[in-house]
Order: sequence, then structure tokens, then C-alpha cells
Amino acid sequence: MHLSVRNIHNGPTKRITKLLIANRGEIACRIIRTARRLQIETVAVYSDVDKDSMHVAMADQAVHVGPAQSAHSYLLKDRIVNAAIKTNSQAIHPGYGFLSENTSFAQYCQTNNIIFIGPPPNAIESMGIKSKSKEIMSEAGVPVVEGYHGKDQNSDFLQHQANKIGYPVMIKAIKGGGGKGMKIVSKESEFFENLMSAKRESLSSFGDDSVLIEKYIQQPRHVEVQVFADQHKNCVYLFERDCSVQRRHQKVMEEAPAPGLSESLRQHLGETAVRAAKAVGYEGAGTVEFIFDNATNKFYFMEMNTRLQVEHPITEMITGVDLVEWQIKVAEGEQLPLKQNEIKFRGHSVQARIYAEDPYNNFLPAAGNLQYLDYPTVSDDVRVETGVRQGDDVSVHYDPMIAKLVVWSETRSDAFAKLKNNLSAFNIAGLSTNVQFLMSLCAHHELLKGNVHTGFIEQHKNVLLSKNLPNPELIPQAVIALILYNENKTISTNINTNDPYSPFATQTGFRVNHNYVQKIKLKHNLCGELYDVRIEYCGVGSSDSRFNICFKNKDTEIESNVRGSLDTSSSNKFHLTCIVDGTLYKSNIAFIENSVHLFNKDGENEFTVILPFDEKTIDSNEHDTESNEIILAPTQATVERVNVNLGDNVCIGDPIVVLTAMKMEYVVKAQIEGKIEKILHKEGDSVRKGELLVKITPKN
Amino acid sequence: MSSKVGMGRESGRLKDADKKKVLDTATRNRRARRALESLEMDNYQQDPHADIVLNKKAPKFLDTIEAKGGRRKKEKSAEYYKQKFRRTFEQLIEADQFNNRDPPNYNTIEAPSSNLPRRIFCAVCGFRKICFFSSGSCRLVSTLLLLLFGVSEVISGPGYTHLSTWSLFVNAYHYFLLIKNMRLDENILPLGSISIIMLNSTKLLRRYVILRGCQCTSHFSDVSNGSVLETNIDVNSKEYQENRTAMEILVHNLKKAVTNSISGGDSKDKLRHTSKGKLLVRDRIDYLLDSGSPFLELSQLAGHDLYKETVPCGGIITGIGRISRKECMIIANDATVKGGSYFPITVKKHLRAQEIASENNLPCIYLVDSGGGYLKKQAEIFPDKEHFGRIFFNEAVMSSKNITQIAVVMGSCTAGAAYLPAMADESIIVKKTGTIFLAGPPLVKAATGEIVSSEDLGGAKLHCSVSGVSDHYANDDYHALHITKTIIANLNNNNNKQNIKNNIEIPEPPLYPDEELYGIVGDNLKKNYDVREVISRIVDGSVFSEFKKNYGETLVTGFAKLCGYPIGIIGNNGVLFSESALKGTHFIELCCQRNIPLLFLQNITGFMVGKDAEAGGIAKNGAKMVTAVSCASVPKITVVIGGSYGAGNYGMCGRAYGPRFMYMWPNSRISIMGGEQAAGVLAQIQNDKKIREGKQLTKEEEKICWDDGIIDPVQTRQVLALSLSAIHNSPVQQTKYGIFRM
Repeated sequence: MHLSVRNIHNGPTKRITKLLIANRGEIACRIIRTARRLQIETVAVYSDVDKDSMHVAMADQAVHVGPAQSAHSYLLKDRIVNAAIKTNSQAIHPGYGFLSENTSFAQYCQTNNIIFIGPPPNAIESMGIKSKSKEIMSEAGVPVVEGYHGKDQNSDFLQHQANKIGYPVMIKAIKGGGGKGMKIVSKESEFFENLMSAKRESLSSFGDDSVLIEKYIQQPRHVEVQVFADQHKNCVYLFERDCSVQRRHQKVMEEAPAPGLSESLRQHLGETAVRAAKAVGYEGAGTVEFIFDNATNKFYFMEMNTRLQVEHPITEMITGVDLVEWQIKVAEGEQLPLKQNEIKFRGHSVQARIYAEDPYNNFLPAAGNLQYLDYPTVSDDVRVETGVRQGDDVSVHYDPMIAKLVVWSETRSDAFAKLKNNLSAFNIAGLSTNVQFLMSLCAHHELLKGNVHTGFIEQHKNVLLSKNLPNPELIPQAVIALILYNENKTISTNINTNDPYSPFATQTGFRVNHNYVQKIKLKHNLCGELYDVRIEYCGVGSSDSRFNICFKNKDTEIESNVRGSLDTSSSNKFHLTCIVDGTLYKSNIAFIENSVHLFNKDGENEFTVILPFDEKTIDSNEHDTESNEIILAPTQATVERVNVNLGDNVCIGDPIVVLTAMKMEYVVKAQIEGKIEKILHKEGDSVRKGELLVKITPKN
Repeated sequence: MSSKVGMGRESGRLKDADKKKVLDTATRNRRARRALESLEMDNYQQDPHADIVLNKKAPKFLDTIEAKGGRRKKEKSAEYYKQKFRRTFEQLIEADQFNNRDPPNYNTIEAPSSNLPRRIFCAVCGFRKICFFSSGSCRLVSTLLLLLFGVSEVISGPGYTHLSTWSLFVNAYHYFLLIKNMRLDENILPLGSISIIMLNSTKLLRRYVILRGCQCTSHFSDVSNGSVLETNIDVNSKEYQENRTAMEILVHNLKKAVTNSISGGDSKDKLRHTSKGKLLVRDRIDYLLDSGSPFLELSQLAGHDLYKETVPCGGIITGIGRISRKECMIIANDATVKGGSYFPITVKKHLRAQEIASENNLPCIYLVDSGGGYLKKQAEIFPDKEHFGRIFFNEAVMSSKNITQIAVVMGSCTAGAAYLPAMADESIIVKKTGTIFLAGPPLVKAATGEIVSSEDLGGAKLHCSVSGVSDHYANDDYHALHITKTIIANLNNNNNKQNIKNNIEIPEPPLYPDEELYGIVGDNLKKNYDVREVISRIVDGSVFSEFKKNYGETLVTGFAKLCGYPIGIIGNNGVLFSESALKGTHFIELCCQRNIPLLFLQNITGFMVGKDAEAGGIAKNGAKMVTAVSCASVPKITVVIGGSYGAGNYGMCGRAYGPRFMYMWPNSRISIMGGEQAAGVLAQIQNDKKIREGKQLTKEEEKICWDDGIIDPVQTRQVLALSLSAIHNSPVQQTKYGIFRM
């Protein structure tokens, strides 16, 4: 797959033998892997919370750069560069994010005689400022979204501009946001009326009636082209990627090549991207992002990312190129290994980003411990890019991405089928993830038809995020898994005692002259459904056990005969084989505290045993307060700002505390009217999910 | 005939990680440790445990595969085949054909595949190989394994060499399924896949060989603790079928009575009970016990049809279960039965449970919810030595012997009963429902005129914060039981069973199905059956090492393992003669010397009568056995599996001889003499034809609590195993005998 020939080209080359990776997580690991293949020594950097991370473990050397907050560690230019100097690294690879598109960092590297693996600083700068980049692109003949952003607010003039752009157009308040003061005009005749309405809204909402006019694209797609340039003025494109499927304006599933593009269009797109790159004297790997109008097959320049993209593996999968290797070569001053006509693509590749987040709660990022992590078997066609291992924490301080799953197949539909299949083997427990969501996503018929656009998830969210009741046959499976796990745990603990084979440990569920009937309460965590389960032990010990498992939920009652076995050959990865009323089921199982996670081909289901007595509830009884009087942290986060002081009077909806987690801000608001009684945290504190933030005395 | 293959040489290829894996398993498993030692010795050829046997036929078979065209190669030397097998085998292993996960290393113990129950793994771990094959060429591998590991000796019937690989494999598989006691669930195997367990164990092979009706050949050598008992029953015979039907009826009736009994008080009482926020007594016990763990309940039928009042389970539930991984005696009042008040039978059952706890060093947990003594019967519960007061006496004495006493007050605990928590080592009380006082509000009012609520008089708050009568305050039943669990977890007496660790073997199920006991025993006590048929369905691997087999044959004595515990068994095979009694005495002495618990399987009409017997000193010799039984301080367990008459009951450790546990089968009877003989004697004396029936006891025995429970014969092994486990909590005691009349 990979072309690893280190050609000696003409011209001065400076061979890199030691490389510092100014990043963390999966991208750091990914760069280390290529560097290692190229016999380059690697140096990692790490913050306090990352000292045991996978990228640190993988690198040959690692340098501490500061505390957890990236602003005080991974983003400190001088510390990173000093680390490179200290370790005699000739080059720094910035990965993506952090310092990867920071002009002054690139310059700082230059001044310190360290190779920055990326484009020259001026290219970063040109592309960094949006208005400037659009200007440059227009000049270079790259189509940009047409629009009028000027000061002249004369209605006739604006109408004239709109006619020039061509309908449909969008009228937007300059100060606007959240859809207020935004109008879409599809016909010339409707323009004036809409303009007035937009101006009125804008005035009332923002106190300013200035508007701008832009071309409106009804169902835009996000299509980007991977380009690569060397120091010898060679520039190639490695085809495009479609990253339209997004949530919260962040990509979640990307594919290459983009579906439904003709060969000529593909070539046109690629050549345009190359032109864009050349316009700024680009070097290294870059991505030119376009808005693609499905209706007209027209595309418009949006911006250029002057770094390696998160979704770069799909390009690698279809072209067989190792982009990090190319980056290093270009940085060394070599020529590009391939010419444009030598670059071909084959098949179809899809990437799914597996995030620690809660899809059912507006994709709110989650943090916590990866208590259980099992991924699909990696092969030539299936790549798992991750920077975490089982037992690692997904920290609140950084991006909550757990892994990227990249698959390749000959056809698009095969690729999506393969993705779904491999997602079902991506088993994570301990924190909420989007795996289940990704599974429904990649099986969605509209997606499979290629009808993607940036609003896809929003459009189909009812289907994609439905909380279905679990399949009834899952409940006996969960129950038997719990029984067998419990028995296995008892037996294996007992084996180390003085009485290693005590029948009290092995004769599970034995009762004299009758069958033991156990009653438990089970909750399906996703939909919150409760089940009263009655388990009758018919037979003793798991080897010949039969269980009659009867569960009640609302007015349905289902009884089934179940038996099964749990393969415990690896320490915490269990495989359950069980027969429920004559039908055999197989699943992978993880046990986290009182919960059992069942992973099968249809995805994950988590059940929790509701214990009749929980020590924690006894303790919390002490401060038995009305839920509205206390304000709890909705997620693990850092306190950004506390808006109130002790004794302040607050009204419903007043912002009390602002939290940040995973680069996101959360405003915690008052639910009742009252007086601030207690403030438990100050700015900069880290809070756990559910932790008490503020207490309010209600106003009577 | 056969040659051994030295697999041990492979150890050179073992990686350190693999060695560690073996070592880890080995620490849990002595057999595996032995295998590891052999491995380190790097010389299997001289290792008697290696068990790798190559059948002469195997190479031929392999040749057939090799010479695809059907041309068969000539016979080669044994060495050639050894090499060849190893090569093929290694190649196949390297090709990772076995499993989609880790390739197996046949020197290590492989974990079972997902569809092999873990228990099988436990049973066969230490054997070299458990493999799971899914399809395709694995069939060849498995066949090779079969051949390589010596199983071919057993499976290769005539003509196999001519069959295809597949059919050989299928046949092997079917034979494998014949090993019923492996309890492998054939339905659990997914279609199109096959599981094979390598029978690389002497015991398993023996079992297999016996089932196949072959002779076990000498090259299966291993340390043996006896030979497998053979069975001579004919499951198709009329007698067997009749017996089975009769016993099934008895067991059915037993279970019906038990089901009735364990349901406790009537639904009205239960509703009143639960409406107070209290848990039913069995729910309390279930929550108290470690989740899913067994409960050895005692005397379920106590009080059954005893009084005109119905007193299910005698109003009290007693039994042994695990709490925080420790075996404890649980004594729990059932407040739905006459308010949990003490009938004479309740007292008797309570005291017996305390006795068992005391003898076996088991912490006692009292779940108290009782209105005190049943006043109408106070004469039968209050004044005597073995009456109500003895409960508190026992509590004090046990506490002095460091047998933990925990009382959980989950209901009223009035008057005398107040001493139960007051005398406990630690006590817990539930708020609102739990009360402790010497006199209740009505009595207080009558005595002093003071008007006080029961909560203020003796509630949880008072006793935990003012009087100090109780130590722990619980919000509800669950909370109280949770506290109890933590108390037990912190007892710091984990060394109870230290003395037995090295004497325990890995348990193995018996070879023959226990259901057959029904057909063997039946309900006719006049028909004798061979007690060995019972032994072989109770002990591990049906292996029994018999002592003095040909002397005093009416008494069967010998050593065996039951659930891994060593045990000496004495069983009756007819009336006791002088020789039998002497043999029994000798055997009891052996067991005492070696500290092996005794199991009496009682089915005895008595000692021999008649002129010859008396002249032979049957009284003197019988007395020797009775002396030995009486003085033996090794733990004794008695199971009455048939009749128990006269002095036979003494010699075979009847209740009076202090067995730690005594169980009865539903067919059994105890009396001074057999019913018909008794009727005959009485007829002669009184000439009264009316007393034809005689007096026979079983239910009687149970309801007055003369034993620790009537059990379903099928559960005998499990009940005995649990009893033995409990027994081992007590320290070893030295036996000192009285005078043996010579």
C-alpha cells in the first residue's frame, strides 16, 4: 500500500533523523508510526494529564510541556521549540489542531532553525484570514461564493446585487446570528418584501439594519480536495473527500471519493484546488475546502486548511499514499514522489469518528474513563486510528475523539456495510459514545444513496436518534450474562482461598428441595425502561444450568427458557453464547459496576441492575433538597466563570455558572427564583459530572 | 503396542509470556503445576503423567490423507510418525487455523472456547488441550489432535481408517457426547461447528472407556485414588422402572410438602407484614446471602402437621449460607407464621441450628422478628434445659468460643427475646419496625401506669443513641442486612479452613447420572440393593477405594472424594455381623487417625440375631463399633438411605451419636425394630391384631426435627458437599476412645 522509497532527488535535502510531534492522541500515534517506519526517532510532548498516554508510550522520548490546559502546555510555542532543541530534533510535526495553523509558531521554528512540517508561514497567514483568502482565490480564478458584503444599503442597489448573484439568495443581518434577520429569496419578485422584513428583524434584534447578501445553496455539500506541494513548485491533488455529514458543524463521517461526481468534475475540482494552492506558494499537505451545490454541480471555495486533516486516512486508503511520509519528504526538500498522472485512486473509503459524546443529548461531549475498549481486527482494509487504550481517560481538556475507524472497499455500498460491521465490533463502555449513532447513520438509506449534505443529520435526526425499546430477547441475555459473570467471579475469587473448590462458591443458586427464584430489577439505560425480572434456577452451577427468566415491563410479561456460557478466557472481554427458547445468540459483554453492556451486530445495549440498597443513596439522604435548589454540573468540565455572588437574587433563566468542556461552553442557568446561598466552585476549578455547583434559597 | 511422543521438547519454543500464563494458571491448579514441572523437566518421555499415546492405527490413517490418490505408503518406523505428526501439527498451529484470536500453544492450558461452559474448563484444566474448531481444514487438525493425544485408542473403531476425515471427526464427536457427565450441552454448539475436548486425563479416559465398555489399558497412568465403581443396574428392567416410579412419587410428595412449607404464613399475614415496609423472611435471607450463592436449609418440614395450628417450617428458617464469602448460620424468624412466636418445635429448630453452628464454628446471624414464646405452650418451651433459655446460654457460650453472634432486629423483640440482640456481639436495629424491650407498652402501663409508644420505649433511635442496646441504626431491612454483610466481611477469621487446603482435589462429577438413584432405591425397604450403586452416584468420578472388601461384606467401607473433600464412607449392604462390626470399627479408627470425615449411609435392619451370632459375641463386637462411632471426633455425617432399625441405628451413627449433619431420604424409616417385626412382637405380647402397622418414622422424624432434613436423593451429593464445606470450618480434634471390650 505504501510507497516508502526514499528517493534521492536533485537539490539540497536535509535529512530528518529525529522528529518532535507537537501533538497528542491518535494523530501523534499515527505520525510516530510512519516516522518509525522511516527510521526516524520520535519525541513526544505531554501535559500533566497525558504522562501515561499512548503517544508518550509509543515515542522514543517524551518531554513534559506543562499542565493539562492546552493553553499552558501544547500551545506554548517556546516550550515546544525548546523541547525540540533540547532533544536535538531537527523537525516538528504539528499534527492537526493546536499549533498546526499558527503563523507565528511556524516562524518561530524557522528562527530557531527547526523544520516546521507544514507550509511556509506566509501561506498559513494568507489562508488564515478569510476575507484575504477569498480575494486571493478570486484573483486566481477559483470560484468563491458570490455575495455583497458592502456598506451600500440602498434597496435598489441591493436588489441589483442580488440579481447579479443569481437566485436563490440569502439576506443576512450583518450582526445577525441564530437565524434572526435571515431570509431566503428564491425569486426576484420576492426580494424587496424579504429585504424589508430582514431589516426590521435585524433592527429590533440587533439595533442595526445592515444586511449582506450571499448566494444561497439549498443543500450544500462539503467537498474538499487533498493537495500536496513541494519546495520545487510541484503541486498535485490526491482527489477529494466528502465531509458533508456533520453534527454541531463538526465532521463525523467522511468518505472518499465524493459520491456522484463525474470524472470531468473531479478533475476540474482537483485542478482548481491545485491552482488555489499555487496561488499562495503552498508547500506540504493542504486541503482546499469547497461548498458544493448538489443542484447545480457548482462548487465554491470556502477555505484552505494548511495542515494534515483528521480525515486524511481515507485519501490514503484510496490512493495508497502515506501522507505523513510525503510531508516529511517535502519538509526534507525532496520532490513529490508521484506526478499527477501517476496518482490514481481505487475503490471507496469511509471514516467514522468515534467520539466520547452523548448523541441523545445534543452530542454533548462526555469525558471519563474508558473502562472497556475493544476494537475490530485491523487489516489492510480496516484501520483503527486511536490514541487511547483501555483504562485511559478521555480528558475534559482535549478533543473527545476516541478513535477513527477507516475502512476501504471496492464499492461505496460495500464500504458502508464494512463500516457498519466493524462499528459493531467497536465496543466501548465506561462513557457514552456515538458508536450506536454512527451505526444507524451508516445504514441510513439516504446516505447509502449518496444524498448527503451538511444538514443531513439534522434532517434525519428523528430516525437516527430514536430511542427504541430494546429487543425483548436481549433482556434474558443480559440477565444470564450477569448470572454467569457473577458465578465466574465467585469461583475465581474462591480459587485462591483455603477451600478453593468450595461448593458454596460453585453450586450457584442451590436450594434444598426447591428451585431458587431470584428477583432483580433491570434498567435499559438508553430508554430508561425498567424491567422486573424473575429468575428461576433450574439446575445447579452454570454448566448444566437452565434458567427460566421471566420479565415484566408495564403490562407485558415474557417468560423464556435460557441457558448459556460465558467465555472468560481474556481478563475482561467476555463472549456470551446463550440459547433463549431454542435460538442461539452470541454477543460480547462488558461489565462495569452494576451494568452489563451487550455488544452484538446490531450495536450496544446497556442494562443496569437496580440494587435494592445502595450505600450512596443513604449518604445523599442527608442533604435531601429540592432538585431545583441545587445546581449540578451537567458534564465534567472546568469552571470558566461564576456570574453570581453570594446573596445575589436570581431569576429563572439567569446564567449562574459558565463551564467549558471539550472546547465547548455551557451556561448553567437558574431554574428557580431565589437567593444564592452557596457557591462551591471558583473559576478554573475542575468539576465532575453531577457535582454541586451552586445552591439557591428559593424565594417564597 | 504404542509409543509415546515427547511433546515436552516443545518447551524450548515457549515464550516467556506463555510460561507466565502457564504459571498463573498453575498457581490455581496443582495439576497444571505438575504439567509445568514436567514441562520444565523438558522431558516428557520419562514423565508418567504425559499421557501422550500414539495409536498404531493413527499413522496409517495419516498416510491415507497424505497419499491423496489412494495409494498407501508402507509402514514406517514409529519415530517417523512422531516427527511427521509434530511437523504437521506445528504447521497447522502456525497457520492459525484454530481460532480467530490467539493461536493455541499446546503446552499451555487453553481457555475454553466461547461455547464450552466454564465448569468443564475447571474440570479438565490441567489436561493439555481444549480446542475449539470452526470449520474447514480444522477438521483435519482436530482429527490429528485426537490421534496425537491418545484418544484414538478409544475412538478408532474398526474401519475408521477407511472413512473420510470428516466422518471420523463426526464419529469422534458423537462419542464425545456420550460422556454424559461432562454435561456438555450439545445444543449450545452452533450448527456446523464442533467442540472437542481432548481426553488427556486418566480419569476422563477411564470414564470414557467404561462408557464404551472397553478395558482401560495400562498406558494411561496417573496417580489414582481408587478405582471406578462399576454399575450393574439395568435401566430397562421392570424392577428399576417400578422403583423409579415409586421414588418419584415420594419425591413429588416431598417437594409438594416443602413448597407448601416454605411459602410461610398465609397471604393476609404476608400482606400485613410487607405493608409495614418489612421484607419477607426469605427475601431477607436472599439479600443477605452472597448473590446467587447456595443456601443449605435445614429441617424444612419441621412442624409439618404437628400441631392443630399450622406452623410452616416451624416458624423459623435456619440454614447455612455464604455472607461476604464466609459460611454462616442464619436463624430467621418468620413473622408471618403466628407473629414469629416460638412453638416447642421452633425452639428445637433454633437450638439445633445453634448446635450446628457451634460444632462447625459458623458465625450466627439472627434475623429477629418474633413475638416471643407461644404462651399456650409455655410449659413445653420455657422450663427445661433444652428450652427457650438455652438459646441465650448458647449465644454466650459460642461468643466465648469466638463464634460471632450478630442479631438484626427487624421486628419486635420482646421480653426474653430482648436478650437475643442484647447478648449478641453486634446488633443492628431497623428504624420504626424494630423494637427491643423487656416489657411492651401495655405491660408497662399495667405495671407503672406510664404511657409510652413502642418506638419511644424501645425503638431504633433510643437503642442506638441512648441505651446502647443496639450498635447500628438502619433505615430499612435492606440497610440492616447490608450492615450485617459488612460486619461479616470485617470479621478477620479467614483462616478457618487452613488445615484442609492441601487435601483437596479438583472436584469431578460422578460418572453415572444421579437420577438413577430413584430406580436403584425405590420405596420397598425389604428389597436390598448394593450401597456401592449409591456411592458411585455421589462421589467424585465414581472413584472408590474400598477397604477390607472381602471381609465382613455386609458393611462397605472405603475412601473417596466428594466435591474434592476426602471422605471415609461406611455403608450397609445387609445385616451387621461380628465381622462387619469389627471392620467398621477398624475403618472408623483409620479415619480418626487420618482426620478424614465419616459419611454413614444408613440402610440397616440391625445387628444379626440368633444363637450363633450371640455366641460369636455380636453384642461385644457391635459394642466396639458403637464405642468407635461415639468417640470418633472426626466430623460425621449420616444419611438414612433406607431402614434404620435398632442397634444398627447406633452403630451407623444415628442422631444420638452426634453426627454433624443427619439427612434422610423420603423412602427411609427409623424405628426400634422393623415395622412388621414390631407388629409381630406386639402381637405375641398383647395378642392384639389391631396394631399391625407398627410405628414408622420419616415425616415424623422430620416434623419433630430429629434430623436436619429430608432430601431428594438427587440432591444428596450437593447437600453433602455443602455440609462438608461447612464442617471444615471447625478445627481438627483428637479422638480418644473408651474401652473396647475384647
